[in-house]
Amino acid sequence: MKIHIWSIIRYLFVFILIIFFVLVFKQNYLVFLLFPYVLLPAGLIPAFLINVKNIKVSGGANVGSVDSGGNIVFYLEYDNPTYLPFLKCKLTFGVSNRFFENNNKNYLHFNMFPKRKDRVFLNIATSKLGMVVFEGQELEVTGYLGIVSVKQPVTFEVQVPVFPSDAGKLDAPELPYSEGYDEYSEPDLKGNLSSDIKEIREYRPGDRLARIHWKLSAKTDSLEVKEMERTSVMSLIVVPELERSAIEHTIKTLDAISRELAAKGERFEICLFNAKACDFGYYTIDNEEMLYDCYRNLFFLPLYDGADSAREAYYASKQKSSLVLSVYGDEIRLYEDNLEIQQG
Amino acid sequence: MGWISSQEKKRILELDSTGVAIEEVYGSKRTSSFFLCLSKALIIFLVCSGTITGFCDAFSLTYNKGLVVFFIAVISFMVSMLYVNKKLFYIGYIGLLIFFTVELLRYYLYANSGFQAIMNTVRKAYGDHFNMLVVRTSEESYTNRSLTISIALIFIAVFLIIMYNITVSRYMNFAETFAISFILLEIPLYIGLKPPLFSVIITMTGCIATGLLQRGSFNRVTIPGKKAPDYIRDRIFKKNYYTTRGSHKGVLLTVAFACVFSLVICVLSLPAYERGLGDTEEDSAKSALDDTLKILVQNGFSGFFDRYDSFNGLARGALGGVSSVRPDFQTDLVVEYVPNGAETVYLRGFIGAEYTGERWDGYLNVIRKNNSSSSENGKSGEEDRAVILTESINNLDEGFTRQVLENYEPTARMRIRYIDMSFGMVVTPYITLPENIIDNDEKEKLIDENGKEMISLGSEDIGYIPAKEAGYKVNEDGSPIRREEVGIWESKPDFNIRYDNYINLYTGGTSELGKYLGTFLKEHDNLELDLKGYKNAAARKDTKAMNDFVLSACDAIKELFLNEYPYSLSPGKTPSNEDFVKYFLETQKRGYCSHYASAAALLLRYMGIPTRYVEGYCIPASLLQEKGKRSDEDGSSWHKGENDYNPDNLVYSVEVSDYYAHAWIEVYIEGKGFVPYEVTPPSFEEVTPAATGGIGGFLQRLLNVDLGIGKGEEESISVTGDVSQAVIEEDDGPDLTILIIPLGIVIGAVIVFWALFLLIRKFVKELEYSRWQKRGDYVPLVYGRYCDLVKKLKKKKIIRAENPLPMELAKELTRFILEKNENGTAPDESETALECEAVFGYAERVLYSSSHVSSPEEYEKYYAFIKTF
Repeated sequence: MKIHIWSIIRYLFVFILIIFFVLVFKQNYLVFLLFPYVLLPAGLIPAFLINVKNIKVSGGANVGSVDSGGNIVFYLEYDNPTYLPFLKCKLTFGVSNRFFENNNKNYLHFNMFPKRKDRVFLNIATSKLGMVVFEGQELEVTGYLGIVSVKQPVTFEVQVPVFPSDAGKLDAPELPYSEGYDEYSEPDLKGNLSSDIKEIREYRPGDRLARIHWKLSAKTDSLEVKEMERTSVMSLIVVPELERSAIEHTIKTLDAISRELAAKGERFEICLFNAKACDFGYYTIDNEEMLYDCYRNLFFLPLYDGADSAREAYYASKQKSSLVLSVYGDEIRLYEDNLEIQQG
Repeated sequence: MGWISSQEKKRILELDSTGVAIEEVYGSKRTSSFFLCLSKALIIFLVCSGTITGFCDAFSLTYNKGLVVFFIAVISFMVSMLYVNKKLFYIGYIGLLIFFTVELLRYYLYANSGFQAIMNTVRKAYGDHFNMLVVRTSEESYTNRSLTISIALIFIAVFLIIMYNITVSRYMNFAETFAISFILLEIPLYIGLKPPLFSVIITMTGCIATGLLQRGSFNRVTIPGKKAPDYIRDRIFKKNYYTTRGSHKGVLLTVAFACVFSLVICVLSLPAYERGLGDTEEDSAKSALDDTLKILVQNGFSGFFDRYDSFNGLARGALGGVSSVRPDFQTDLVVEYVPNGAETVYLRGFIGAEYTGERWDGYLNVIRKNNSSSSENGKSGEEDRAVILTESINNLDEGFTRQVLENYEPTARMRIRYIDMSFGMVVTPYITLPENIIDNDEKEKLIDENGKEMISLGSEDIGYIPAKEAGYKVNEDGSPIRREEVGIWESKPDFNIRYDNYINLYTGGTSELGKYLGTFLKEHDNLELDLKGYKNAAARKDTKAMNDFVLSACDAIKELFLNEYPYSLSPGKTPSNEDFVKYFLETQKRGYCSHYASAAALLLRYMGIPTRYVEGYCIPASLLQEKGKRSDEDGSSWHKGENDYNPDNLVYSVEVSDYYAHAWIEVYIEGKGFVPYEVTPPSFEEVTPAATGGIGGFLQRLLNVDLGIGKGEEESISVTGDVSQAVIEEDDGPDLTILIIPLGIVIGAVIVFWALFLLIRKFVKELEYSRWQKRGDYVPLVYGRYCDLVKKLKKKKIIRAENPLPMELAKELTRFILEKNENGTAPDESETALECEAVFGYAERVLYSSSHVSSPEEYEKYYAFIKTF
């Protein structure tokens, strides 16, 4: 609870003034002015302090996602189960794109009607791709006379991704043909085709569970993974560079190339590099929903500086051996064994 | 491309840099601005109509209530609707101002007449409350008060409505506007006139609703958008404020709450309200305010600047120049004597011989002026006192008094101790000769009626023959002269009477004043006086006829004053180019004792009757009865002979304050000499002590502290050679200390409060800094110190840029340090630059880098550096 000293001083000043008139100038009838000054705080402050605890606030959004340039309407939902209106409520909140965080502190002043569950809406314009987060931080409710206010921590967080829209057409690179078992059909085969195993290595996050060599792992007491000769029928691993300055273009290019590849019926994976955890995540793209799912994960990844970090890390950590399509800004480059394949 | 507002530009910029921008904030149900403004209009209507009708009904003003209330409703609606949108707001307010001005010019005469009618009614009510015979009245152009007052009220309402509209829309402090409406209701309440309860309830409803709404934002019509923070704040602590649009339901809900609450309060306070004013026990603050109000009611604001506060006794002939006289009620004299009747005892202190139009000059002064050879240079204090004694007692009263006292020994004794009256002056009872006065210069400590110690500056033991015993019979009303012959003293033709001085020494006769006095007397034929009667009787040497005429003339003038010239201690200032008496008789027609005595003296002189103007003190029987204290002294040595009134000859001591300072006339009666005559009509004014005037007086009594206002006259008298002149100077014009001292106090208080405020602010800031430092919260700490430094450097004119960046500041400071040390031991340029860069580089890292972790040592170094400035 916060006590506003200046409000008390102002309040006491008027109180003393009226007392002065009543006592010194013998104007007893001014007592009727004193009544509000005695009754109002005596009644309203305790009532306020008791009832303010029952307030609940949460947040939400009118859409699950939005295309770039579209508007998101976040809402603050309050529930005032008491019979008292709360005339001065201040919500400290943040609205930001995770890729472009800012230090802005936003305050929303609003009123709460008694016995009502209601919403206050915030219409947000977006211009960049990423995850837009509406985050409640603190709710401060001030009493009627401005003398006391109560602060409550608010912990809701609403996230709405902003997906790329109207992606331009890109020519997908010509991919070399390769044969092999479909990774996903592997479980249907009985036993392991040991001749296909290229090497055994330690488990790295992102490896499929089916690849774990359980028997060996049990013996060595650490997870071992089988690296197959022909790992995948996936003709391509798309590795976007989450470089800070070009992120907007990178995602747009990624979106365009992904859609193009999908349209051609290519099976491909998008490999997302988490620069902070030095980890990779693979997302097979079969349809648009899977692509959006991939974006949702991408929007939470940290950005970094350095143009080829993801690709270099990919090869350095000996990820899946496949053709790698590096996406950085508006450019796409095809690599095999860390060597760029010059397209005709 | 169309025009883009700065707000829009900011939004675009923000959208571009951060990818998101808050465009709008709104509630679940979008309230129509129209209904919102309408609900605001309701509040404004309630408070304005309540205030205005309450005020008018309390004073029983004649006005068209329906019309006024209708206009208040319409104007409230119109003014509230200005907030529907911004364009309407800007255009509408200007339009309203023009409309208001044009209408005011059109109906100026009506509005002014109505306003004057309201003021006249208010003044009259206050005059009745304070028992004032005369109050200031303003001229009304039209007699149809109902119409003029209604028009004036509508214009007043427009002003109030605009004030309240601003308040309800949160652009102004509610307390200020509340104070304005409170004053309107307080004006009748102060004198016990109660506005109708209904008006009070609706005013309170409006006020409470406004107060509550100001705290919240139900009443918000427009969205103010974001504030534009300053440069650095914009980058680091950017704060945006958003407010939801108001809701008319919220406003109406608040009004309903306020209405119920007001009703409850009014019901609870009904007994107190019905009882009205409390007991009228004397209170210094209230009486000070009462005094101020009296001056306002009688003289308007000008009364504060030209009034005369009576201190230290008598004015010694000074007249006019002030609008009101306020006694300080300090004890001037302590008089011990044996009362021998219920008559008022007159103590004569100054005799005016020559009237100059603005003052009375004493006889010796006149002689001195006429005989330039008698130089007064080099007079000692003792000689001054001798002159005063001679002037006030001996010289001008030789004939009758000397005859009486040469034949009869003084039968009574009086001791007069001078407390707050200039000791240079002497007051004596009727009838005294200087030979019977024994001076005592010793200072004595006395205890006054309130138990406070007072010091007498000296005393006189005076042997005298009480007026009653000397042959002056006293009327029932206390006037000490009657026409009955007492037969003790026969008129003797060889009296060395110099009464002719008192006929000739006035600016009458052929002068303009003389003509005016003649016209005045002729116009007032109800006096039924033969203006040449006295002169004719004198020519016949018919002393009886002369005496009869004197007494008839005195009675006639007294009656005239009683009927047509009411008494007032605040009669208004005599203009500098006007004759005091002429202005009183012709224009002012009200005044205090000096006015009556001066006018009567000149009117009687015009008829040829030797008359003189006298100042002194009077001790009415009421004062003796109320405040007289019986002394233990043996009364036989104080009074000889029979005493029906006080058979045991008990000696009484009475404290005489300047409230009892007085002016009267003495007329020459053949066979008796100059005898006192009372021409001042009785006063019905309730006069309360006004130790000091204006704000100073108010503060003085409020704080019950003696501010020393009005002190110091004693010193000025004792060191001045020309005593009468000295007194003239000190009494002439308003006492500037009345203004200077309160002004000094106010200015001093403002300075002290300001210094206190700065100190407290600094203390709170340092407290906050130390809290941040303890918590390790270096961002606001470094920022705060940085801002302080920038402010300081700007004040010292070391830098000019607004909100410089840390590295910019580093460069500026490097330059400054090098320039400063140019003539001294100049530090190495690169070293200075490096030090500055290091310090402000730290500031930059703290402020702009989210990953930077500051250490206490780094901060200490930074603070130590910036502290050097």
